[in-house]
Amino acid sequence: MSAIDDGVESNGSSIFDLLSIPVLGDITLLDILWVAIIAIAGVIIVRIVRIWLKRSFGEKVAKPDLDLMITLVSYFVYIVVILSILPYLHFDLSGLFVAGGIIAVAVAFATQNIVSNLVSGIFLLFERPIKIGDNVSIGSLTATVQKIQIMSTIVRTYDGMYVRVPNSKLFTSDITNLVIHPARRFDYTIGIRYQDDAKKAISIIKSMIEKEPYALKSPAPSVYVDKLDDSSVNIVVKIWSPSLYWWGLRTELLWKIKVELEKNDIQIPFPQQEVWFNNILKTDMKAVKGPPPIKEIPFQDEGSDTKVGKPKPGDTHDW
Amino acid sequence: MAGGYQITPVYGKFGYEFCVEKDDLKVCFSKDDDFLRYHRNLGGTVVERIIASESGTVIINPVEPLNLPDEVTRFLEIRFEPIEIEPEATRRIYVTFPIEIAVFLMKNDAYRCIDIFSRVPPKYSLYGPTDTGVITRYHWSEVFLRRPEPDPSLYGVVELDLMNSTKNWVEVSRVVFENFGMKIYYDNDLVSMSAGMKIYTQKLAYTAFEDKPIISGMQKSIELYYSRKLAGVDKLAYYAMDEGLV
Repeated sequence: MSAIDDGVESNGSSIFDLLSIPVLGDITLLDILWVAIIAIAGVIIVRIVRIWLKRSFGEKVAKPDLDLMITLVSYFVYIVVILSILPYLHFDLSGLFVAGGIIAVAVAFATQNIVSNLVSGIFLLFERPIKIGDNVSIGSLTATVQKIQIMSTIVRTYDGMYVRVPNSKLFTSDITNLVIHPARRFDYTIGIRYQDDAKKAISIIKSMIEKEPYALKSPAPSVYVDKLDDSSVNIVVKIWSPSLYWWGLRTELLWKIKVELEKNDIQIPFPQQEVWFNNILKTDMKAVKGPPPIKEIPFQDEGSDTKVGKPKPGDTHDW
Repeated sequence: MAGGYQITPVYGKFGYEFCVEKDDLKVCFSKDDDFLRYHRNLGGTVVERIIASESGTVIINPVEPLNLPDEVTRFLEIRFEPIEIEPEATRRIYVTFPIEIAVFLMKNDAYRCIDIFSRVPPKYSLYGPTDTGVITRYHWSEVFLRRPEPDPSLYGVVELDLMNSTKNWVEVSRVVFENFGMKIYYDNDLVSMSAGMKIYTQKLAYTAFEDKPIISGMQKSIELYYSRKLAGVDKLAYYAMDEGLV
């Protein structure tokens, strides 16, 4: 047994001796073997990472962005591989590290925004607070998402402007997604005169809401007297609507309610204030005309030809 | 719903020159030189189309009631007065659903929908909470224990089998269907669907349609929404009502 062991040991030591023979300067066959193993491992790792990235982000990221991401990650792996190989080639890295450190600091300063955008983009892809087509508010900007890229997000404002939002800004801003939920609520405050019947007004408003297909049946709309204000009794109307249709409903329904209330002799009053003088005015009261009568606004039909607009120069009130 | 109207055939297959009239509805196709004119008047709302076709077939039939005023949702929700179902029992009820009527042009195997209209005002609702629920086309129906006979141009009839598979009493006051798999059958007197609702808990039930008429001899409607069946898998599309049954 010991002879066999000796034989194996002598064979092993002879292979090791063989591999330890310098073939190129101080570089031995063993070094070359390690270099080959690390290089092959690096190539395999890059391929695995590429496949993983394509599978994970293929449907979430645009193809040019995905290609950029794959290239960057591949380069990073290759750099790690090269740095791992260099010691086996007896390359003195100390000088390279010093120079590399200085370059790295310079590059880090120069690219901090780019890296910040890139990292934010990756986090946004995972978190997915927005998607293409969503109506969103980002800070003071309200727009529709057009494109989500690795460095930036493209949105179109409601007046048709193209806006590029860097992902780092998007990531740190308050994002309000206006359509992520299936339904949303909006409300009106409608003031009626004190002499009007609030119960009747509520009934009319409810019947108007009922006729609107996009005013959801459930959650039910809420209509109630909210405040006895200075000049009006305020009725609050809260309506749920499908998120994609609420704006159209909101803009159309208010006028319909106004018209219907006026048809039923329920007026929306102007702000009014009565002023009482505590002292006697030293003036000839005969010369003072009485106050103009408070005019009721006549009912205006939707199809009426009544022109509403700014007065022209020289126009005066008819009282 | 049943009385007070005269049934005029609205549905069916027609040639290229005809008129169908019923109450405030008028649908006409007329030849104009090499073209065909389509004219529809419903309660004063007029739709016209010019069609370039020499020969073909016009089909007017009821379709899934999920298209008007817009394709907002793919779910139909029918609410009805609450029903208490005893444990492990199956009961059949009838409820109504709103009708939307589609006009198709057909040539060989190719067909095209040129108009959809309805005499029932649409209304939407939300099934489930406001963050995770789904928008539904809403319809309120009476519960009928025998098959009702509503005006087929206004309402159809769902023959609904309620299956309580739990060991408890269950209350049901709504059913939600998904558009895929809605199988509508019609004749001149009735529009119908056949559906089932299997209740698993007070909060969960599955709904599905059966591809059969409730009276033999009814014609099957052309579907606007159809699901592709996998080869060898003969399974109807179903919807999981997991936001409650009341």
